[in-house]
Amino acid sequence: MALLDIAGVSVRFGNVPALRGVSLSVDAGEAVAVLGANGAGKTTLLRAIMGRVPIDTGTLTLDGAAIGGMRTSGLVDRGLSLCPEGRQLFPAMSVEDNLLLGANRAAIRVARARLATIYERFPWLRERRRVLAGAFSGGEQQIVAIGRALMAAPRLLLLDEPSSGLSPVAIGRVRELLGQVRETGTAILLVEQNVQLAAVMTGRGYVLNRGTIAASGETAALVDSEALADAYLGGTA
Amino acid sequence: MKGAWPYVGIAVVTLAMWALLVSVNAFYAGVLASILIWTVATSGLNVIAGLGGYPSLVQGAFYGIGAYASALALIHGQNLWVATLLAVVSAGLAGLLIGLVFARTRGQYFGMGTLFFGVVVALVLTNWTGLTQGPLGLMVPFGFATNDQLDWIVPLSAGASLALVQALGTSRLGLRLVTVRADEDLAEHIGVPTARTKLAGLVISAMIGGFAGMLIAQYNGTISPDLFDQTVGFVMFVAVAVGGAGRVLGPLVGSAFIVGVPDVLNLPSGIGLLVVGVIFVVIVIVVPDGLMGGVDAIRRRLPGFRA
Amino acid sequence: MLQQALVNGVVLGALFALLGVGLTLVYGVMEVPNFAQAGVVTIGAYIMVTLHQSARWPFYLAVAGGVLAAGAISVATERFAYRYVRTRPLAAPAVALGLLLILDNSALELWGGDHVSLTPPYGAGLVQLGGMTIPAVGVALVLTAAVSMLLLWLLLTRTGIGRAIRAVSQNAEAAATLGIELERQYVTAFFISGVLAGLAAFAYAPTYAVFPYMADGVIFNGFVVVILGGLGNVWGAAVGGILLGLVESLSAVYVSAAYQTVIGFVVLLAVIVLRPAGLFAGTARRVA
Repeated sequence: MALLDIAGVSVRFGNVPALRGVSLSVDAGEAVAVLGANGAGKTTLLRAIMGRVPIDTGTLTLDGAAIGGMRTSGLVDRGLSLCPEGRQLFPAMSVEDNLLLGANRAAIRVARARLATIYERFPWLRERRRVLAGAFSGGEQQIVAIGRALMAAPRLLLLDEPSSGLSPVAIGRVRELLGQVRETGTAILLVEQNVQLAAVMTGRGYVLNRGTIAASGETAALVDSEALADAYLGGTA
Repeated sequence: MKGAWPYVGIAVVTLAMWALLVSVNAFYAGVLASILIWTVATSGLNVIAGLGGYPSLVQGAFYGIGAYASALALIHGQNLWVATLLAVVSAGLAGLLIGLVFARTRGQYFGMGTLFFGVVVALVLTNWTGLTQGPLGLMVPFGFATNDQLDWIVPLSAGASLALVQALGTSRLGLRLVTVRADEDLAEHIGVPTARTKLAGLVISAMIGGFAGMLIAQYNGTISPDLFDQTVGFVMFVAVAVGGAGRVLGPLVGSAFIVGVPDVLNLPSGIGLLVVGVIFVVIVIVVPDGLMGGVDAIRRRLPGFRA
Repeated sequence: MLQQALVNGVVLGALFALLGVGLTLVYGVMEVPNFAQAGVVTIGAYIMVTLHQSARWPFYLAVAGGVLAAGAISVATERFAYRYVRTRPLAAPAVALGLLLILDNSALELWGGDHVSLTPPYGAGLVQLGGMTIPAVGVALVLTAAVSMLLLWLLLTRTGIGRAIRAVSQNAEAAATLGIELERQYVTAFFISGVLAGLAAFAYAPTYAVFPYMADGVIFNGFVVVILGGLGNVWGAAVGGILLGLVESLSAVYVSAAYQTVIGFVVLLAVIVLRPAGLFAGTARRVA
């Protein structure tokens, strides 16, 4: 049984359909990619999974339990965590405060314990724990954002374009970090425009084109596929 | 003749108001007159706040400046025309001043800034006793020829102010104000002279408010600073919001509620105002675009309506 | 003369700070200008008077009761009114006015319009400080404000609740994505704001009488403080409150007592026109 199962999900904003009949799945410990151009609906998909936007039709299942319509707080409790597009850190709060907020659903002692673990694994964060989040560069913020998402001790980590706006060096660091995350057995659903990063990080994936799944399969194969080229360059709808 | 229908409607309403005013007993006539004079003032406010979307909380000050200017002019022997002109001009100048000071201020800041201007005006009216006789108030010489004249000037002014806002709404200035309300930065971007537009809106609002001030001074016979303090400006804004900001009949409906409900309910003052408070809260929550907005929403659901 | 003015300024400023901090906290979290806070102060004061004089509670217990009641009433204003206009900023002032009318006139109906007084045990006392004589109620006001600010600081910087409130005021959507329940934060912010209003009532009532419209004038100054400190900036409001108190007090002495509020307006004007983001905009420390 898949960890996360999405079947026939549609989302619309007013009269505008953002997602139509989307189905995908992620197994425990797996790393899956969602590729597509701007406006394809990738962010909407992740936000729908996290309960930030309502679903029109379709079902969302986590570990066999239906989670459609559940509040975000409940989803976090069940092991979902989203690292949003653009980092979305709290700029006037310190790295440590940002991290602790990631564990806001847990008791403070548990949160402090998780913090210690994160600091151990990523000493870079501990060294800068009192710095205000707004002072960092994009790449550095991404590290903090991923750390914050990990503080929820998720079973499935959702990542929305972690490489966007980052220099190649920063992307490399993100890749390293995500590699470490994979080693702990956390599943990852990686939404990306950077196909190279997706190919390195994930085994299989989907192509999202204008709200529908256009293709699926091994990420390496998808990267060279016509479906992906269509999604990025237009072609027939 | 399509464009004439709103004016016909306004004329009908004006006639109806006049008919009511002369036929009901003195108590209700007083309430109705207050409502109508407030309609003038709040229609003025509707220009900058309703069309322009700028939360001006200072209309009460323009109202007061107009009242005192006209009263003082009459006291010093001028006739009503001069007094009215003075009221409108001095209020307009005040509006100009505020507009220049807050030229680059928006939203909540603008609201607070105007509110405090209202505080200042109220303080000046109270403390500049040499000019205004302070808290004791002023007796206002009657400037009209007869009492009856006042009886039709008041509804006519209310109707005229509604018509003015109607006309403004479709004019170039009005359309510019509406774009400022929708998205000021975008408006600037596409070349709308936003600074001039806002200033014009504010000055027009002020002048209409000043005119209303002259009317209340005439109708009441005496004026005192507490009639024009900062809460009046605030309540006028609420009246526009309750009636429907930007909608022509909004000020009439809103004033009817704000002025009429407490007076007509005639409950002991504490409970009366308490009920008014409850009504405000309920209306604003239930009918987002004010009462006239609610009417529009209902109309849209009726069969046969074409948007 | 100058010394006395300075002392008065600090006392006045402490009151402004207590009110301004509550207002800015709510504003930072919900973008709502909570004029109804004045009504909460009033009812809090009346409840204290009733508990102390009619129910014969010990003074400080009565104060505690009033403070908690103020918190509860503030929460009620959110649950029954403000909650429905969160997405409509232009509607908020109308709701605020309605609530203020409801609260003030409830006080009028329940307790009548006569001025009553809240007399603390140290009521008539005087304190000698550095050669000056200060009324004990003034000292109590400053102490109350100082302790409240300290406790609030600890709450905001050291607790999960405080972190969550700060997060919501800085980026509500990101906070929600982390699983923070926004409703809970709004209620908490209103509760804290209500408690501060209750404390302001405790500090303010002994000096000025208790009557249904007692706080309506002071709340304006509260809003000046909010803008001075920067919308949503709690520390800005605290410092701004003291500053405004000093400025008004000094100008009352050296310029004119009647136009005291005008000075406040001039200050506000200067800030709005010259530094709209508040006096402390440059510093990245937007705490709440």
